[in-house]
Amino acid sequence: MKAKSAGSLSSRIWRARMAYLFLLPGVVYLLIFRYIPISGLTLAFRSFNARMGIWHSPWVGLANFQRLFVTPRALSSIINTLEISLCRLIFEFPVPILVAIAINEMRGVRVKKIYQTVITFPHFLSWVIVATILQDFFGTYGVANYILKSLGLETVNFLTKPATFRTFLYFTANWKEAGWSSIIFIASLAGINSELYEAASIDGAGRLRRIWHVTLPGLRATIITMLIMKIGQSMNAGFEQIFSLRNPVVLNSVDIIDTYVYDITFGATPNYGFSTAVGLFKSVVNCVLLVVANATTRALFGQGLFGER
Amino acid sequence: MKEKTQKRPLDGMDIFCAALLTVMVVLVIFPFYTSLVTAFTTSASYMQHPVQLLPRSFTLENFSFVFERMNIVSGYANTIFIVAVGTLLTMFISLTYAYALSMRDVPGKKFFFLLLLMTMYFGGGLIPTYMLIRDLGMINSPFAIIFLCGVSPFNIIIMKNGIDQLPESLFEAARVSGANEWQVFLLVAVPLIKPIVVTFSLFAAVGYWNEWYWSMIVLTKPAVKTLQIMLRTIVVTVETLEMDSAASDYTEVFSQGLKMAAVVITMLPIMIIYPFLQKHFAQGILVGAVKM
Repeated sequence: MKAKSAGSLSSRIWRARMAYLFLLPGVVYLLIFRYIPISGLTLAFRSFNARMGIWHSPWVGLANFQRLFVTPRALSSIINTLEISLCRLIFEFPVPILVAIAINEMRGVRVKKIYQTVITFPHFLSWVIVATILQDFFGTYGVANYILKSLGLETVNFLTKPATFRTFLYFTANWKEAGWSSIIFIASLAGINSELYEAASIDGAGRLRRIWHVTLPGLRATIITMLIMKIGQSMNAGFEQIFSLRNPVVLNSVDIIDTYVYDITFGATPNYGFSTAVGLFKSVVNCVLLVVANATTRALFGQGLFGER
Repeated sequence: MKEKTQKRPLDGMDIFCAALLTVMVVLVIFPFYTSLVTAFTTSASYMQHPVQLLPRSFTLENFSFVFERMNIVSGYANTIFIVAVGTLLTMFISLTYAYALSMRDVPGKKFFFLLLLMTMYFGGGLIPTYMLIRDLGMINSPFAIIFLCGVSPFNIIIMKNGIDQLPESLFEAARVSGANEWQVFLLVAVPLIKPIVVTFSLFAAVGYWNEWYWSMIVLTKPAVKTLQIMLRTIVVTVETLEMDSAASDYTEVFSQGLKMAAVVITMLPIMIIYPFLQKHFAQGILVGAVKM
């Protein structure tokens, strides 16, 4: 019996040999470029010694994590990250939903297409390009201030005042991504049964009421899914954007965990064990936030990441 | 339904939506427009009129300056190499894996699926990854960028779902008529999920074109630098020059013009292909969304 099933297993494996051949490139890739770095996370519990390498550096337990909580810049970067992420939820998350509704309500199929094409475009450029363009545009002597001046208004140092710089972050993130992020909401709008709209207008609902009673409920599932995913990214507050836009004047107010890790890793006295610990701490908190957000929306709205209850 | 909405008279909502979106469109286009104008303007003209709705001068000086200072040709070559080889390798690894995952009666298939799925949720992060690249001797190698960016477990799962939905009889028919597994893969499966393949190839290509984070860390030798890194170098150098205005040759340098010329050089290819391929780009997010 045993021999028979083993035999049939080996013959099944032999028959599926082509499948393993097809899997081979991917498996080699995953093991080398994904799993070796994951195993390198043990560095977070070691004191890295360049001569001994990752695998032979001495274990230090949780010392690197303890250091995280007594290093002022690390703590302030964690607070900044959470503050910026929270503000992004408030100032960035709703924008693509509004854009999707506006596009849905707008008339003229062709104009709609062109508008959508235009506002989606910046998504396909890197932050290096976008930052260069927008820093110039909103700079002290840039176009934005020129317009303000010619309208008789006071000029604003968008980029060089810590208070305005964070607003600038949310504005530019919307500028680059709102169009792209709206596509997924537009797609769920297309899935709403048009009979619902007809029924609502027969009942005498105006357009605003139809948006409130038909459109928004139709977007609910997508909104909840995107919200949970966004909350699960709270410990990343947009490295590429901040790294590209920051300048010495505003450095401290937008010092997030990722910029902090980058700076200490490629700075004068790197401590790889500590850097890895900060990164690991970040991922663990993100993971916890994702689970908590998922459980919360499940309890509140009866719906989580993996469909309805 | 559509026809009905076309016929009724304009109301406040129509005007509000049109106005809101028009403002957005103008806000997006305007900075691109002024950067284009600045890239082609002379320093003297810019000093007089920093904002020019209609260009008041035309010069290629900024471009020739950037070409003199930077080896733009090598930047293009390095970027195109990463885009071409990276997209091909990414699609090869992804499609073969997706195909195998949707094959029937493969012992251990679940394990290989999990092996992939786990990397969606867990990663090594900056330092372990950097040390791996260093230990592999891939510092200053374009292959570091090719392997670190590109392959996405999420996309592989979508490709697998795409192949799963094809009727098994097609594959059987091909096998019975003597096609080997490689031919079934290449001549039956891949062409039948062509929309997914096109979209993800485009995503991979644009992703590689725009990659700068790992390039900045890994590609330090001038000869291997990509366009994005050259643009960053120009921006940083020009800014340092601006801050240290005592720098002797600063008066000669028209910093805004140079930066914008470099921006134009870096984004031009994307700008040119985007309108034609926009359809496929939008499709990608939908393919993913529907299958989620």
